[in-house]
Amino acid sequence: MKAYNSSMVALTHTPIDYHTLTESVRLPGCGAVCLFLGTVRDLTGDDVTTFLEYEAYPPMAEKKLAEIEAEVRRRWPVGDVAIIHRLGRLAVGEISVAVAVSSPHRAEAFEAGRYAIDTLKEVVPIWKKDISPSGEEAWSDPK
Amino acid sequence: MLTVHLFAATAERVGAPRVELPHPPTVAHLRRHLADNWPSLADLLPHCAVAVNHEYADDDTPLQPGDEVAVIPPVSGG
Repeated sequence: MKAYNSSMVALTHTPIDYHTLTESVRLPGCGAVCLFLGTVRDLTGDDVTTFLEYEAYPPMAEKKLAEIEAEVRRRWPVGDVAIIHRLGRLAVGEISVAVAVSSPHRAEAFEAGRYAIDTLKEVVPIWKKDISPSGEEAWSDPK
Repeated sequence: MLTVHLFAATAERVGAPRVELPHPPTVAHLRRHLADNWPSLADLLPHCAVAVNHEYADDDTPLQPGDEVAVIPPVSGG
């Protein structure tokens, strides 16, 4: 099993081990740990998804993820932060992204985690292509 | 010459992960050159950002030799 370092931000081509990721942010001074998982959904409106294919601009994506981590630390008294995004082809139900935040109390962990995933979706250069059961492919239209 | 990295819809429309073009002085010149020479990008470019050395850059940003330049279509991570 792959071990995750604490304070990590990463892109990965292998399945996300969210248990290990969550453990990596746990600290004695933190009474709260918030984990967000993004998973591949089967339907978007009426459109059926079979796979999503994720692509990134890796050096910039890693830089933007590191900036999100730094901003989380600047704005909230968090213990630790970990953000990992999967790349490549993912089937329905697989985990595409995980954000784990620990803090002394729960409010900060929820707020910081929310900020991290919302900002990731706005600024990190990662794209997903939707592949339908008939094999049709379409780059996702961001909402 | 300047190498411009393309991703997702932009790479697919051009059929290549990068293009080369004569070094443009600014991001605005780069946008114009791309739209003129790769018409398949023209309607998408206004929705794309441009990154210079891994940072989002506005149209006034000057481009220096050796800069790493990329067209960033609307992102959809998560």
